[in-house]
Amino acid sequence: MLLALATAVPALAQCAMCEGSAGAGSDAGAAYNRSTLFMLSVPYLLLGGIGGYVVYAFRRGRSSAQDTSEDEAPIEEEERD
Amino acid sequence: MATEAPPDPRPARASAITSPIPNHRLVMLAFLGAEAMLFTGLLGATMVLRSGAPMWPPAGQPLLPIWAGSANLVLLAAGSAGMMRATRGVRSASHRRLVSGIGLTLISGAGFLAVLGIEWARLYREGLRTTTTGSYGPIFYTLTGCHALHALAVMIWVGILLVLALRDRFSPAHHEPVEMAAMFWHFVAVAWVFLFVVLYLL
Repeated sequence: MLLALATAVPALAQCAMCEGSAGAGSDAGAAYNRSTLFMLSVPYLLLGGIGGYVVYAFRRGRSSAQDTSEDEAPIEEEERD
Repeated sequence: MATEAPPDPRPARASAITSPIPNHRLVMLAFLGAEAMLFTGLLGATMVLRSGAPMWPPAGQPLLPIWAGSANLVLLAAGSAGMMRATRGVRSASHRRLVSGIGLTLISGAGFLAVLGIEWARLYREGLRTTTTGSYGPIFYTLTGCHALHALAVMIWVGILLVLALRDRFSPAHHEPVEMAAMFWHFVAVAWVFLFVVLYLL
């Protein structure tokens, strides 16, 4: 961890490059910001969508299993009689 | 000498736990999520490059024909309808619906590639190049080319499905390949909607 932090110092110098070329207030800076937000939002939307589908599928599976067991119960009673 | 195991005092489970999501569908969702990130990166780069240009499209460069993008949208939607028909057909053991749905998708896909090819040729003749027109040409050719490769890949897949369907290899119990190809086709169609809006309309 310390080694990674130590070697990251030259990389931090590149922040000044971005700040100079696409700093806040410039068109390029706004474009970078919009693009970053767009690309950041998509993984969350994908995970939310797929996760929502997984939850929905599990709930549907559980409720259909309960329906099946409720349907089967009277038949068992009839068989006992 | 083998000894008999003592009986398990625990009650037997009423039924085995099965996943409500089939594995093939889950795998395809993960794959399509990765594909979506590829197009997200391309669209993000497009947003940055467009905003950096003083004028869009650059002076002297041809406008992208909206008719071509719209025609491709309709063709991909028709392909999606075809795959839905094929999926319903294989689930209901209707061989005719399966084959006709796959056929419709193949015809739509061929139409999509033909329209895109005509558009590329026309724009190239009008001076839209990949290296000498700033970022306008590269953005268009990269996004549409990447999408066309996906369309070609899914068409090859659907073509193989057609051959297998004609040999009667699918049944309601074995419909996974058709469903996976349908998911891929729907993804290609939805990706075109985003490309159409970003490239042609904005």
